[in-house]
Amino acid sequence: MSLDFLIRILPDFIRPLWITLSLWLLSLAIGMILAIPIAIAASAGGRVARWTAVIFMTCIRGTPLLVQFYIIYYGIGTLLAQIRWIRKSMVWPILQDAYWYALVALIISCAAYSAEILRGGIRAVPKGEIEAARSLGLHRIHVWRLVVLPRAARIALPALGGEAVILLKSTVLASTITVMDLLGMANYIRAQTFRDYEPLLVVTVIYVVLTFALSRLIARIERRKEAA
Amino acid sequence: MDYSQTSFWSLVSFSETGWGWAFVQGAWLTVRISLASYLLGILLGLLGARAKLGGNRTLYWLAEGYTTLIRAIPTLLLIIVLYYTGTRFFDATLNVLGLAGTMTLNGFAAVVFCLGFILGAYMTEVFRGAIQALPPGMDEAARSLALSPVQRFRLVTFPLMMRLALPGLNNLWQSTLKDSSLVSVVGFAELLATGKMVAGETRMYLTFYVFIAVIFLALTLSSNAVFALVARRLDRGFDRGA
Repeated sequence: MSLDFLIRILPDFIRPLWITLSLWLLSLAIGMILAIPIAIAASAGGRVARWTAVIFMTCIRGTPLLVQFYIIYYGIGTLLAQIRWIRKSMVWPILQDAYWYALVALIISCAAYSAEILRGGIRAVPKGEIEAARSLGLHRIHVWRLVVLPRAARIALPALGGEAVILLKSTVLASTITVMDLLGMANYIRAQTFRDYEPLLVVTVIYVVLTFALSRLIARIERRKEAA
Repeated sequence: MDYSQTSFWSLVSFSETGWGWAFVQGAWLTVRISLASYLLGILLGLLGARAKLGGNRTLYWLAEGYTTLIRAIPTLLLIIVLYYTGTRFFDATLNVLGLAGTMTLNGFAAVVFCLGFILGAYMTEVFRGAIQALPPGMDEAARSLALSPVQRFRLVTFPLMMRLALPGLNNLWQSTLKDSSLVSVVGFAELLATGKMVAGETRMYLTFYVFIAVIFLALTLSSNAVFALVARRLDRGFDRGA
């Protein structure tokens, strides 16, 4: 372990840190938005919608995220590469970049887990409140938008916060499909210099700081919601 | 070899040219490392919960540091760190003892140690929560019967606590099963590594990764059913609130 070497490689982690954070923020935002219709479909949809939502959540939550990464990047990625008009199109440069495959995998995962949490929240909304909203003559859409979803979101808030932390930690899997995120950079430096401890220590410390900061932020949001 | 004309079912068959047995072996290894690290995790979790609730300050902070740190770091990163530093530490220790080259760390043991050590931190929190949720009267009643501490734990705290810990234990079993696939990254030949090998050989990536996902899904769904049975049994005599 050499402190000099550790300090020298620190600047190499600035761009990877940004890649990790952008993967996390984008997949969190898009995944949570997608989770809302999935949770509604799973708890109040017609038969086809409900089963589609439930099967989607079961399949994603029942299989390892790493396998999902491989299916999307190696499976679907190589399939797309075999289609000639895609290779000639404008989107091909995007489709060659592993970053987007990692983002899609994280979005799908976040959507499935958050939808399951939200479904639990929807189930926990007191029946009387929904009946009260209906008795006011509110339209079905308004009952959902004004009563059920805000209440469900508040009930589910601690679990959703936990999901945000889990998602942040899940971003390391991007390194397994050649994305230069924090762990990807650490592995690159390890392969180039044959030094394991320094780069791994840098990544570990960054993740500890990030998860601690995030947990405190979530605790603060929860307290504020409770006070309101 | 060109596999483009070969059907999927003959590739996963148990004939000489099929990979059926390789997948069975990989799945069996996945189940074994998951079970072994789960047991190690339970053991560490019970010790950790005991340390957190036992009242000894040093042990408390030790357990607190263990759970806080482990749970803040991504599992894949921890596996890489523990696997490489652990195996190197093992070799260095042998060197110091003058036993270099006499023993090699078994891959299975190294992987189980990594996964179990990580799992123990999450287990500690599950057991601590369950023990704290028990009504204090239970322990007091056991004390008034003059049961020894070991008897109190074995006959009263443990069976009652397990019922409360079961949902958390189920969750952790599911994530152990899924996280076991991460050890393919350090070169351990479990189910996903087998799938990777066959996918690369046949160049049928989508087919074989989906196949691996289906096997994992079968494992998680069937173990979910087992946990539901155990929950029913532990709930005997309790009002289910229905």
